[in-house]
Amino acid sequence: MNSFLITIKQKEGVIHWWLQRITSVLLIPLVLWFLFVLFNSDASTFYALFSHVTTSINLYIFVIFLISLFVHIKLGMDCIIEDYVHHENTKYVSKSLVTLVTLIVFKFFYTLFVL
Amino acid sequence: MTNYKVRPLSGHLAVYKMTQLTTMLSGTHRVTGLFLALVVYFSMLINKFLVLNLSSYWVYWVAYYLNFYSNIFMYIFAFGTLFSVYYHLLNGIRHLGWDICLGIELDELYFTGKIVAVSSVIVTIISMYFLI
Repeated sequence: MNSFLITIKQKEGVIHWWLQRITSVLLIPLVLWFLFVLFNSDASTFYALFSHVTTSINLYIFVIFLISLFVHIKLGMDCIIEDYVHHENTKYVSKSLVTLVTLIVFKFFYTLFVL
Repeated sequence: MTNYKVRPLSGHLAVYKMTQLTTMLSGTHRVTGLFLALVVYFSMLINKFLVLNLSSYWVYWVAYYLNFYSNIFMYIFAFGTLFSVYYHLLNGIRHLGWDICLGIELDELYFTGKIVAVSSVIVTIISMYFLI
């Protein structure tokens, strides 16, 4: 277990780099799909956005879109914090807060649209 | 109290000329990414404000003026966030091209950069025409 955690800590940068590229490649069609559904829906409120979509394929695509979007947001905010904050404790707390807020907002959107 | 030695940092913002196209494109890539992340976070916050009926005089004042200027405010906000989405998307494709070593020479950089900047504005104008 300890060697596994040490390996994860050693490969932290590589995981960050690969996840950023994978989420970027996934998000190129997913963002266009989301904008397409957004423009074509007759919904006028925030809640009625996906109420007319009843096929399960759209829900699965939306879940993949949510996950890749929030991982991409968290990695991007990590880059910005890494670039402009040079105090190590402040950096650690800021990154933890960004992870926490991302999880909260993901839970909000998941329980609102998918369940 | 930690014994923290403050070492000098290498220059990170002031060493780049603002008149170059490459710094402006990279800067707007970062700014649009940050802006889109804040839009995603604030949409949840606004929903919580509406659902939980959180009100005070400050909130009422903001909502009153937001309702008064809502048409032009929403117009500008929609234009800004659509431009952010399209610009970040196209520049992100440019970044991914750099990872496959496509377009890393200076003239190719300027060429693709101009294409990204111009086409993102054109696509947002077309999208706003379809929205309004």
